[in-house]
Amino acid sequence: MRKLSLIVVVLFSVFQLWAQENPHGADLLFDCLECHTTEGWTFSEATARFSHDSTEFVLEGQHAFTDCRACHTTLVFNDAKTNCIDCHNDMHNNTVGLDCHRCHDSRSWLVSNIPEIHQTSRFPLLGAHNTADCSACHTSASLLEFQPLGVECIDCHSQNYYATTEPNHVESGFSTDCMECHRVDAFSWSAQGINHDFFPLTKGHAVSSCIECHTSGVFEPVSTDCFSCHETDFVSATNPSHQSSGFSTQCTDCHTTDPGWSPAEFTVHDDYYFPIYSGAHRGEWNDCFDCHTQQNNYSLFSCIDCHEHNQNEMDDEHRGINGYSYNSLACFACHPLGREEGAFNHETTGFPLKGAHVQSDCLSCHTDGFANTSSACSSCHTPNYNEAANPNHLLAGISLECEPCHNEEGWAPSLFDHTITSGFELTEGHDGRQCADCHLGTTTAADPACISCHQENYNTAQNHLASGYPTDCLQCHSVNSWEGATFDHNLTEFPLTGAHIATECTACHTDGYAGTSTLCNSCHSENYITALNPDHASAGLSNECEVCHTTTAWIPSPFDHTVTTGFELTGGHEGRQCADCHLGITSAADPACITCHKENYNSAENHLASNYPTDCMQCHSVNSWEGATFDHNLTEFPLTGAHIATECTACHTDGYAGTSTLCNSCHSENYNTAQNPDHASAGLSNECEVCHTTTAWIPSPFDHTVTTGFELTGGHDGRQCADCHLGTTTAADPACISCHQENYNSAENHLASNYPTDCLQCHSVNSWEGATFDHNLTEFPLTGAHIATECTACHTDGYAGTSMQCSSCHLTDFNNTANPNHSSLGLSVNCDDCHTTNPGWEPALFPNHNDYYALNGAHAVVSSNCFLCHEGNYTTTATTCYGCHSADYNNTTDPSHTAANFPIDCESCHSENAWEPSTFNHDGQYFPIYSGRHNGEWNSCADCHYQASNFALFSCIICHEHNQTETDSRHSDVSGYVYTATSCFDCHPTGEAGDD
Amino acid sequence: MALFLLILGTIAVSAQESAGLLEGKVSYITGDNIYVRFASTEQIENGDTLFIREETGLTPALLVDHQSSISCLCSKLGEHTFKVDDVILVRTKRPVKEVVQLQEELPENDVNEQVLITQEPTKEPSRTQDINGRLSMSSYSNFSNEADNIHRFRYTLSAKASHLSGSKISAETYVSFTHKLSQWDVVQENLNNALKVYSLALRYDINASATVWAGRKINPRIANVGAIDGVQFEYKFKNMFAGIVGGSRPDYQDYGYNFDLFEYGAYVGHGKKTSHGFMQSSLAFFEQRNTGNVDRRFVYMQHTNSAIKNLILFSSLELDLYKLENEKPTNTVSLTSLYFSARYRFSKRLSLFGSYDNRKNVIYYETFRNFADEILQQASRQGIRARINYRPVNGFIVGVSAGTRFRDEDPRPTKTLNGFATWTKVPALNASLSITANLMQTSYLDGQVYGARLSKDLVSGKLYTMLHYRWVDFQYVNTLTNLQQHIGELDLSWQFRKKLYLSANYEATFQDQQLFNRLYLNLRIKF
Repeated sequence: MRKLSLIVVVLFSVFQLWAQENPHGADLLFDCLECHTTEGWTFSEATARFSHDSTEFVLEGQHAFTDCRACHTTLVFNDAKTNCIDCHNDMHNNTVGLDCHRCHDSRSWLVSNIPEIHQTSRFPLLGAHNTADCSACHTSASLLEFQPLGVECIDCHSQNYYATTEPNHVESGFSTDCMECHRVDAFSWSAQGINHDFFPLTKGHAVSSCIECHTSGVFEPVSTDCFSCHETDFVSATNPSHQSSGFSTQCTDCHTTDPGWSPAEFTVHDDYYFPIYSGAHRGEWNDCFDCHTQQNNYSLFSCIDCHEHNQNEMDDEHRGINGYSYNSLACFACHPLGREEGAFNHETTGFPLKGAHVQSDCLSCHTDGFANTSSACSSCHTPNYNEAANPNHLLAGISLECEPCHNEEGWAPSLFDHTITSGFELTEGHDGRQCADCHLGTTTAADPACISCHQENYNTAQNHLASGYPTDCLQCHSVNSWEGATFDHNLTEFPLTGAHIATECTACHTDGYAGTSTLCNSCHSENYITALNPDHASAGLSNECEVCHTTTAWIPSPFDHTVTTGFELTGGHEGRQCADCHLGITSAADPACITCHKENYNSAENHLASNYPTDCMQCHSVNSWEGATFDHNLTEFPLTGAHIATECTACHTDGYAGTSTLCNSCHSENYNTAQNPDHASAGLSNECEVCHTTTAWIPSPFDHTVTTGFELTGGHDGRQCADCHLGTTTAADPACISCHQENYNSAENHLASNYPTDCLQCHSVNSWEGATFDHNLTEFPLTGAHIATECTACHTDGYAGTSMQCSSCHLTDFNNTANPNHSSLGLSVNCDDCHTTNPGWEPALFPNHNDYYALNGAHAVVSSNCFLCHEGNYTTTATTCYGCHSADYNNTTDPSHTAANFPIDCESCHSENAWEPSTFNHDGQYFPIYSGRHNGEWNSCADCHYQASNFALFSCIICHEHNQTETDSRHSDVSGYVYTATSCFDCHPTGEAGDD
Repeated sequence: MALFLLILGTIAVSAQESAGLLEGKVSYITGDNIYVRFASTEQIENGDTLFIREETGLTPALLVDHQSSISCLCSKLGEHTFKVDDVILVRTKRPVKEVVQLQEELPENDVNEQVLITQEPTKEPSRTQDINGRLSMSSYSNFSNEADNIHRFRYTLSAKASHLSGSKISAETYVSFTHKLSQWDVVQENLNNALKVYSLALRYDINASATVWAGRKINPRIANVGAIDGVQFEYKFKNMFAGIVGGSRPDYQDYGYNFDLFEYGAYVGHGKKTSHGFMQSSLAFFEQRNTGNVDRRFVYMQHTNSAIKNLILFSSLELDLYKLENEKPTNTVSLTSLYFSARYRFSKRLSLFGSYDNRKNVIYYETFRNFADEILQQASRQGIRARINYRPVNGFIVGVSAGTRFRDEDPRPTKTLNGFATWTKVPALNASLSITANLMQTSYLDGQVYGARLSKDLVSGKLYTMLHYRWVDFQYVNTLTNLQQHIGELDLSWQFRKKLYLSANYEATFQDQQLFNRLYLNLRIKF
């Protein structure tokens, strides 16, 4: 009980402190006991139950050993932020970002895994970089800044580059890409770190000393050309003698980097010259001299000196082979691969031998060898060309390409066909001519046009030049002779038809035959000018005669006004001269009547004054102005209902044009004078058609319910519009109060009591009288004591917005309640936590009793009987056990608590379940009497505690059977034995004989 | 003989008592309770009986109602009258251990006394002197047969003293001393080559809103400026804060004091707590000079935002406002650094992080006037990173991160792809196992690194061990040779006590026939 009391007191204190101000802020909601004890607010890590792991920031590494205040600078703990930089200074000055976890962990700022970190960067550490001091690259003065660095060697090692003298990198023009020569994982710039990949030191180059190649001792660039180092070897070679044989100085043609220059192979001999390392000649030779009989010139060779193929055998085997010759060049020419099979066949070349070439001697063509012999005819036959006389090729400028005219069978007959080749048949007068008669200098430039050759004939022919005859000779002449010339006008662009057939040529060709116009008007302008019916000029008719006339005759003209213009000349228009309508030009005539009949319109009765429409056809026909008719239904305002019988002038008061079709333009007077309802005062729309038809003003088809959704029933029935619609019908509000504000204001209590303005809550639409109100339909149904409560008791400030919180009405009850004192206890102001609406506030529940005093054990059993403990006093009810159970304490006789001056904190010996059994731990604290040998050996406390007023006193010798004689005899050999109670206990604290 | 036996018995009893009794003293007396203070109440439970020694022996006198770590709240069992400092005894259930607890670490008053005697809390903030710090000694050693052995040593002192003697004055310092073995001449040549003073400053709290610093200090509001030798004043009002700074910056070669490098600036910011976190923005302007000439002028902006649930945004922007072109100063705006990161936690199991940064080397036009290399290295280095972590079940987490970093001059961009899977509680071993894979493409190599890391607290919270193995395969881009490495790492960290920490990290790298060793040692003492 004492513990409970303390907890209650502490909790109460906490509650009170909380009510004052929570120093940890409003967001910290967990139990204070997580961190504090009932002994005080001082935080003790040893007793606190709170675990930081329950937050979003688990304390790992050094955070677990950090003083709370280092991060929580105020008592509002969740003000502490979780980014590293919120607590830790950025010693890198923002040069590496703020993701500290990339390099650091919570155990230490010391970075132990630098190589691993670098492996996630642009520069994994290799070689000397692995052991280099960080500051060697990250050169900031503070040693902690990491500005972005370049990742190329030269970015850091430019000084090394410029300072190096052996060799001098700058003078030698070394690349600044250090990795071309140095290993990226090297530990030094020197030999061990050189990356000789640019010249692999393998096989014969696997030298033991750099100086063997870098003879100067300075590692200047050494040429990678073999000869630059091996010139001496080249010069001294004797078998074969490289120098005298004119061998290439490209050693790699024959040699590898294998030591000792061997095996040396001139394997390219097979690919570039002749297969001697493969094929039939493989193994058939011993040394180069077998074929290359002249040692000083390896470009010379012999097939016939070293072979068994003597001339007789070769001649026999090659008998019948055209061009065969027994010499080495010919052998090689036909057998470049050294095989009999697949020997050279002229058919496989681009120049198969045919006709006369079959019998020709090879060397007559291959005068300069067999390779690269031209296949062009002229390369061999230019003399034939030059000597040809019929025709004389040279003079006629005939092409040097023989094959268009000749084949391998012979020079004559020539294949050339002038007709096929040029499209110009050499017949009659052209037959038998020498090419050069027509082709002057070159055959390719000849023009098939007659005049290109016969210009002179044209110039001298009668009239041709003077009359500008066309130069297309074949229009009049044949290829046979200039005589018997003929001409067909119908082949020209102007075939002669109709009257033109019989017309004299000179009648048209007044200025010669060239450039004569084909336009009618060029000859017939006079006819145009003099035409009278119609007068073409005054009517502005087009001078393109062919539009209206043919070449047959001027009259009749095929012109059809209806087809051409779409305007049929009927009725009054028939028989008119063009110029009657077309003033000046026919193409500008307007089919609208008024364009011609404006004068008729102006002079017609009423037309101008009444502003009749100018679309004449609305009323008139094309036959006559008389008998005019008009159909109003074809206009935008068909006449219906009462409009049919209405006089035209009743509407067309200002003429017939532009008459408004709006009802109001004529009926505004009806609108203004309407009384039932009064349209104007009601603010009805002046769009008459909304409510009326053309049949009659009354009855109006307007339905207030359908149109507005507000049925005019009850008190609203029969009202004038303006009774509700003040000024305009469109703005009317269906809410009662919008019209009945005055009724509301003048109604009893409404305004003063701030009744709700939703009239239908209490009234019907029929009458203000008989108002009803059902509070149970609101969000606050009346129950219990509220049913009989006066409305004004709650609605002290009117009926709108009345709070439904109990405390809004009962705060005074809350504050004034003394039993218990609600206010001082800090009870909830939500009355319904404990009370119902039953009158008298009773029965009251206290479901959160445990917040103040936990009802456990026997207390829980009697929890519904408040009076048992509180006896009607809820304020000063003790929270200590003794406060209620003093009588139990005083009346207890075994043992007598009062006499023994037992502590009054009952819970030290009793539980809340029952007084018995007592939880007093006599066995554990003092002496085992509920166990061991003394269990069941006593009846009451007084058996041992002989002085009821002091239970600290006890006796082992008055209650025991162990009288002094027996006890003394048993302890005769015990040193220090004394026959006193305290001595018994001191030696036998557990009551067992073996205790000592 | 009887007397002898009595004396002997008394001695025996006394010896028994001293072996099973714990002694305390009455520290406070109220009307209802008696408070008894012990060195430790570890062996005392509520309900225990406390004794007083009388001529007849031990007499039950008090009953323990409640207890703290050093004090018991007791009620009287009899009529004995107590007074402060009376000796009280309690029987212990176990042999008494020597309680090692420094007296000065005990509170001045018992907690209950504090409650009882504490006056009404006042609005005036308490100023209690608090001095703490740490001393760290580290060594970094690289040794092998292939290269020169290098041994570096670093000693750091970091300390903070708040409200010295209860005043408004506080102080802080952070100093390091670094040198290499056998290179003491470098230190002798210039002490500043080894000694780096990162912070040495005094703080004066003018009032709850205004603070002024004097000395060398990195201002966390404008950390990118670096340390400032001078005076810094900051004023807070509601959610706003503002500050002005004037002084000089450390020497650009040895980080010593150099008053030719005058600098000044100001900053303003706003911080607000939201329902899901914080939102803070700051803007700073700064100008730095060298012997009177403008060295650099820039503006810095920073914004942190965790207002949206599960989303944390951070961005910073640094713009240079000054440029020296052809010896002519111009006012320009050029980007020096841009950083943006976002972390979104989809759920407790899945989170995503991404960042973009764009940085250039800071150019001090006056200082670098004769340093062509520094001027030339102005190209931006950009980087994009993304990381996703997924915890499918408790105790198991997998993650993948990818990124690219590049500068225009780089022969080719660096791309990395990392993945890991961590099993935090391997059964039987009760250790954490992590498997990693790292694929990379840098300017001059293509690489892959696979590793496994086993870590375990041999003594929970005290002794941490870690074994790490990595297999490395680097394929060089421009050479015929390649490199394979086997890297083993052993880490041992021992938190002896709350304030004493020792760590040792050894890494061995095998490649070809070569072995490279790296050893890090660190001893840290807090005070």
